[in-house]
Amino acid sequence: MGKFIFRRGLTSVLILVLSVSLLFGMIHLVPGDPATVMLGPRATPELRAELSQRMGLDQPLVVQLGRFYSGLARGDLGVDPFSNRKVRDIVLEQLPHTLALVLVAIGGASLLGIPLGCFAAIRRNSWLDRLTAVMSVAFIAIPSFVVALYLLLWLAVKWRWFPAIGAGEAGNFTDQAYHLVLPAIALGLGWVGYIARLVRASMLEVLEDNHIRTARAFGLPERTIVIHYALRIALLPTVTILGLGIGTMLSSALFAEIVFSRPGIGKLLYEAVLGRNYPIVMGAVLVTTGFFVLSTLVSDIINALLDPRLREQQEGGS
Amino acid sequence: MTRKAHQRLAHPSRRDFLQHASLALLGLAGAAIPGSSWAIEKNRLHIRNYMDVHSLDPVSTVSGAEGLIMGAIYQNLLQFTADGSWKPRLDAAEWFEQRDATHYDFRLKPGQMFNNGFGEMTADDVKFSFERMVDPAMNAINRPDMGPLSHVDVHDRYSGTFVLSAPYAAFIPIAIAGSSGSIFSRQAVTAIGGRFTSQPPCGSGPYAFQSWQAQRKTVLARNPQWAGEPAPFEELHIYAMVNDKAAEMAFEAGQLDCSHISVETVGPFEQAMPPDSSIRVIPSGRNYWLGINQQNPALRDIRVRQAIQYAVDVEAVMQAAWFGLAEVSTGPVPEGMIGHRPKALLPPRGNVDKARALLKAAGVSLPLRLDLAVDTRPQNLATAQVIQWSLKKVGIEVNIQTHENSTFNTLGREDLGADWRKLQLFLQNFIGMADPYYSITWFISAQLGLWNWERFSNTEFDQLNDAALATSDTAERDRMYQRMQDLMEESGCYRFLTNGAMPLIYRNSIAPALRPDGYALFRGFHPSTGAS
Amino acid sequence: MSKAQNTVLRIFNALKKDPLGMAGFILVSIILFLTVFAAWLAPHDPLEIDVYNRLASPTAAHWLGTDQLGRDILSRVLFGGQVALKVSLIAISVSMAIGLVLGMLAGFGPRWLDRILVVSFDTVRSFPTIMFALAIVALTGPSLNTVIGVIIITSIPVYARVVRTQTQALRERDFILAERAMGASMFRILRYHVLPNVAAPMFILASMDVPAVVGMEAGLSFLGLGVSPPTASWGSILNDGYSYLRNSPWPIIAGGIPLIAVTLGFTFFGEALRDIFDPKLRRKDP
Repeated sequence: MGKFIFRRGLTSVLILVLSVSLLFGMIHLVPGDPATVMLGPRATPELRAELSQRMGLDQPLVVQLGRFYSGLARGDLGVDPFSNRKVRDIVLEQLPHTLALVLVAIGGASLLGIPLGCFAAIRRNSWLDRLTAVMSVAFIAIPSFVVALYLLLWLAVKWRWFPAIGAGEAGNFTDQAYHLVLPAIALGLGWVGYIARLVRASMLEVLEDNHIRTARAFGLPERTIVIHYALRIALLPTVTILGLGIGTMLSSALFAEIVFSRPGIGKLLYEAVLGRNYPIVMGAVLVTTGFFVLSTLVSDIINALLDPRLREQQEGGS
Repeated sequence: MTRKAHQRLAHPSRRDFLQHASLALLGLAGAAIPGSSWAIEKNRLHIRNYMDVHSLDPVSTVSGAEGLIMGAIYQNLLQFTADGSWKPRLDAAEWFEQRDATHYDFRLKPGQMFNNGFGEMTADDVKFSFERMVDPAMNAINRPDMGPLSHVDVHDRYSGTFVLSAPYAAFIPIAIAGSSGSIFSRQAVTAIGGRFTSQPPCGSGPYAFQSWQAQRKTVLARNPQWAGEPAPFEELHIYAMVNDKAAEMAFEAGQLDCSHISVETVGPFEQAMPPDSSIRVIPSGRNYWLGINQQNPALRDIRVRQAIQYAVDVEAVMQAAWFGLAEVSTGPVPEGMIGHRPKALLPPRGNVDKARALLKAAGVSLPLRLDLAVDTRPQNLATAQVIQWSLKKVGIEVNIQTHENSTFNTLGREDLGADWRKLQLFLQNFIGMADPYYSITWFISAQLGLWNWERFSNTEFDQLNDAALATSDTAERDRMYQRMQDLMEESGCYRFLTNGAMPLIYRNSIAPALRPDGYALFRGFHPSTGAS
Repeated sequence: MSKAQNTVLRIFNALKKDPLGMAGFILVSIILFLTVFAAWLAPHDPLEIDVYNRLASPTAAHWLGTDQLGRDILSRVLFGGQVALKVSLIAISVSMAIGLVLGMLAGFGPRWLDRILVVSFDTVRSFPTIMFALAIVALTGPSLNTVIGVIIITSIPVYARVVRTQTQALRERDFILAERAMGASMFRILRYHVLPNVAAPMFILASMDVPAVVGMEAGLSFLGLGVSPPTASWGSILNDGYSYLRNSPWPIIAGGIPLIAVTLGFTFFGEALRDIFDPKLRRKDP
């Protein structure tokens, strides 16, 4: 097992390096420079030259990339040319907001989606099952910015149950949690449907399994069977997919962050790309791809722990 | 309904719901609910800023969003007020006068204190603040604002003289009264190494900087050491909000007291106005125009360019993209500023017959196909589509080419690619400042390949640009800038659209203070008389 | 009875017992019909501007009202369907074709090739989609082709990984082992034995991917990275609806309903197909 984790970890690092390097090259191919974007006509040629030099843009790409990695090794991601703040600080300051949002969204979606999926599986093909199916799929279809819009209109503007924008007062936990509700719903609603569908599917499969049939034969109540035996097994594939899903959500939280004017990594990355603020782009890219690679690594390890066959396969062939 | 009553009504339902539902939802049951931060408290003003702050040091500020805050926490010698004119008033200066073309004398009010214990403002602080802007070692982003400023002579504790190496007519509006002319304590800035960004070491305005949180807000508090009339609000909370829709919702939800909103929302809001609120629409002083690249082979013939000028129905653009809130402009220089033309040479609605005749005279085979480059902002896209529709009527087929906003800014640049040759039509807009020089100077020959994407080049225009900066005679400058806009229009390179419109929504309990171009002067915001 | 007829009959019989699948089939048929015949069905020119009649509520002339430039929303929704169809058809077929080839190579080829391919799939999957899209758009300008390109690149690894897993499972099956023992070339085995077995489930997966692709177009449009105006797409209609919500609720309704209909239709129809042809196939990737 240790060998597997080591090898898998090595691959993850390789993927991270490849991904970050490719994105690095890509963002530098894109036309535009930070001085022109930020200052418009006020960006004099001298100023542009000075900024380029400060960011090392006058060097060949390979040299820039080398500098980025050697800085990274020292824990230094460079400096934002405009605010003169450390990119590391800028990124770490935004990360918790997005992490909280993503985890609450996924957590909430699981709390709703899993029972819904079980329920649908038990009452398979009833009209309730079908209603759940239609609702779940419809939830998946509605883009999160549309959900966000209506949540705002009703829950924040009309009834004033929740705040419309922002992330709450720094240091005030309750207030921050309160500000998290609407964005988390906007981000998680589609996942409710997705998780419900997944759980239902794997639940149906598990309920056909031999040992469940045995349990039924022993006359255990259906409730006990579902909760104590079937659900545990049925959840495994769902957990794997959730891991992968969370990995991509750091950047897709952008929609909720824009509509609710929340701070976060998605918005940081988006605005940095628009502004061609290369140091910040790279810092944010590193965090988002790193998070993805980490969550796939963890889900692979969990998988391997649960299913030794997979481990052997990965160790041998993969 | 007064605000108090309104609050009383809004509170119970929110509280009840809080305790029963939202905590359970979050699994936090049992925790006590402290007063939530998002309700409007008395004496705190919650305002939207249109983007986040990068720096509050004039050496390195990049946007007007920063200037909004700087105006409240720093002092200038002169400053603009909300009196509806472009005439700056005395701020830190007790007396300010232009002696000749290159000398400006000032005398500070005594007893103006920097906060954080940096003592009284002196003429030496003024010298320090301005000279660091032009110090080559500082490489200040905003150095061009200072023009040919050479140095400042200090006469005594309070008085001194600005010495310029050449005449610079925009010195007062841009260098002295603009945010680049903010005054700092030499001691304070030197103590932190000569530069700062988001943590100002000192200030002397009616509000004092308190905190800044990235992507969230800047908080200012009443400055107890301010010598003048105490600031009307205890705290200003200034939120960085890029998205108009989010700001509109936040205003309706009671989280903001004042916000710029988008033009399309004005109509619906006026029909169903949020409680206790008003909207004011101000021309924005920005110059929006259709640029026509005269060096592109398809557009070399001036008659073709003129045909395009005449074909565009600017009134229709105002209706479609500006919801009728903006006026057709006569050129880059907005109304109320010297150099504004009362009337453009071209009629606002254009003239389709004339356009057709011009195309015919030019011997163009129709349909003529042209590309129109535009960025992705909804308003510009709407404008582009109306222009496309206008030009179709005279037989010009326009292909709208959208570009990501930052890529768009490189299109006409010779140093950033080869697109400038291919550029045909484009929609561009530049922000203006307090002097016409700032609206016009981008179109001179020296700007070819930089910001002059029309490839417009006219010797008389270039000479006038220099001459208008060298004279202080207002009437003379007025005539010169008007003539320059005539030249631009006659070249067929420009179809001026509008100076924009900036709708502002605010609670009736406050009275916003705005410059003539709609720029908010936070310092001047105060509770409206009679409100609770 | 021919094989094709047989298959159609089998689908039809199965759908009769599966009301959701049937509903999905009907929805898909309706959407395809409306989209393909948009040019005949649309009451107006989707590009015809009428500035003085903008953001109007539904009337007899404009069943879904007009947008911010006074264009008929119904006509734009119908023509927008063509954009959605084009994007999903091209993006899915290209990424599926490439994914099939790469996935089979990874699953059947030498181990080093498999390693390289898997690492490259995961590398592409780890790109933050929005940043990737933004960079591509900044390079090439927003257009339909850019949207299609972004979707293709990000979808290839998803298909490839599924195909790879299936190919690996097939590799050890008796009939393939027999072919290999007889000295058949890798190309021959892939072409005649692996491809037919992995392609069918792929089509089902693809049908279920249509909504994801259409949704992605909507997301890109929201960020201003979608199709160029004046072309109508569901994403751009929704995006306009977001901006002009207070003026008229109709654009968002008109843009949202087809999106939901497409998702419901293709998902349920796809699931029904899956149950008929390959009950064991479950999506392993989100």
